[in-house]
Amino acid sequence: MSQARVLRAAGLNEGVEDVKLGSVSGRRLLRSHYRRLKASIAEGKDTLFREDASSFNEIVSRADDLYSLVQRPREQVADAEALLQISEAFLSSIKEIRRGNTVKASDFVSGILRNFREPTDLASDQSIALDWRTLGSEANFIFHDAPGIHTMLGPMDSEPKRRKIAASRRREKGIVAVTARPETVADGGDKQSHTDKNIRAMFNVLRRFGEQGCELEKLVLSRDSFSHTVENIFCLSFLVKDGRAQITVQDGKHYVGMFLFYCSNPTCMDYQAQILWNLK
Amino acid sequence: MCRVMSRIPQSSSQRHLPHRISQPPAHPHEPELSQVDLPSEEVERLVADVMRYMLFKNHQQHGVPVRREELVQIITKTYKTRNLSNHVIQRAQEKFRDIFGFEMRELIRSRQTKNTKNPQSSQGAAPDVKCYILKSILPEDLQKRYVITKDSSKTSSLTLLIVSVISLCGEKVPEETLWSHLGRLGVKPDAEHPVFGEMKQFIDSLIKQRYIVKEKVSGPNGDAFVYDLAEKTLDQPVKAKLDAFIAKMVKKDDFTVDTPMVS
Repeated sequence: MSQARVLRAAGLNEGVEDVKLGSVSGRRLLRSHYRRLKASIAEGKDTLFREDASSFNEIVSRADDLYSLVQRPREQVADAEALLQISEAFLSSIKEIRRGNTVKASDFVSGILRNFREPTDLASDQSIALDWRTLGSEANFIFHDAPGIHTMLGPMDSEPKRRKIAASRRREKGIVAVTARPETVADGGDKQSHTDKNIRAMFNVLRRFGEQGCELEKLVLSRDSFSHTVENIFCLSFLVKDGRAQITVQDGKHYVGMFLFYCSNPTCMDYQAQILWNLK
Repeated sequence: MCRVMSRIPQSSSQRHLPHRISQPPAHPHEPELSQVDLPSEEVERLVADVMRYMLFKNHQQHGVPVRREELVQIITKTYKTRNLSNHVIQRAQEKFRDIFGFEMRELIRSRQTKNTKNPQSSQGAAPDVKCYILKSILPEDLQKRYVITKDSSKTSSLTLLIVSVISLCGEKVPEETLWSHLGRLGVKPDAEHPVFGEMKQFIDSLIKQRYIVKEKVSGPNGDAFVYDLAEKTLDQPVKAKLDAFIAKMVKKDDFTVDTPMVS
């Protein structure tokens, strides 16, 4: 049988004259025919093995005719795949018969389309539209799903946030820095004014005594407190340095009196002048 | 719903001093309460925890079965008393029925090929996994009025079609077979459906909710996926109603429940 006759018998009349089976294009064409055969097996799988159907014989004869054109392994694989598909369809059909289920899925789908299909607008893309709402009402009474309770918001283990109680650390008793109390810090500022106050007080005392002054021991000495004595001497030293007081020695006693020659910011020449003046 | 709401649970209406449960069981199927040596208030608290967990899970992952192990973990977190889990779960089932009109139904998932571990269970040597789902047991007219919403109806409709096709195609339905039947109904795997959106996500949700199960099988063409019914669909009341619906659609009076496959 010539190759052209075979192709015509297989219903592959398209471009028979152009097919050169030894060529790459011819083999490509043969493989496309096998793909078409497999698609037709898949489509008619449910009706393939009915008694009244002749599609099984047609498909098998087509497969045989195509196989006679096979020359290379790749086409042979395509042929084997087609035969596998026929075998799988046969197996599923046998399983259904053994199960005793006379209803096929295709019949069920046809029944669904018959009962729930809605007329569609031709302009729309969707070709098939079903009445999902009516179908859903049937389904709800089959599954009886419990509704979700929409008041359950947030994570299940959520609890009100509790404030973390900060754990206090025990600090080591080591003096890192000198701690100071505010009153003592304030005293630091007052110390300066406290000294000024003492100086002013001492100067007022000296003013009362005038130029003659008073005894040094009576002015600065404090019999109750040595620190007061030191402070008084400290204040007197400022007065002497500023030239507002003078210490003289008379009859073996020290006298402190006001110094009328008072000048602010005395220089060392002024001190020399004071000493010279006192030495006169 | 008004019938359900009018009933006040017994524990909240009567104030009891805490007492030990040491009474003999009222019904023969109840566990021996003398072994549940806990105050009734503690038991009620555990029951409330289990119920709350079930309701939360049903809201977070609607329709996904809750494993018994998770409920037992809640119950035995504080108390390790024997038979406490059974008693608490049973009480929770009764309370769901009385208060909410829900049935806390137990389903059994059989562990098959993949598990190579030793079977572990707290009750004997059963390797199967028990899980629980909530179902509404209200009368149909009350469900229509108060329970069923538009969204839930649409989701249930496609679920019904998918499980019906898988039920009719037998076990281990190849993916191509399923989509070829659904394609006739305008449902395609790659295209986004105007009502249901991404179909692959929808199928995944059905697998999570245990309506169907997806397995990988290796064949001459490589790995392929097959679908089969899961325990939620194989539950007897659901299966019977599903078969009745299929019979109605094909108008077959002598349609029978599928007989198990003979290997």
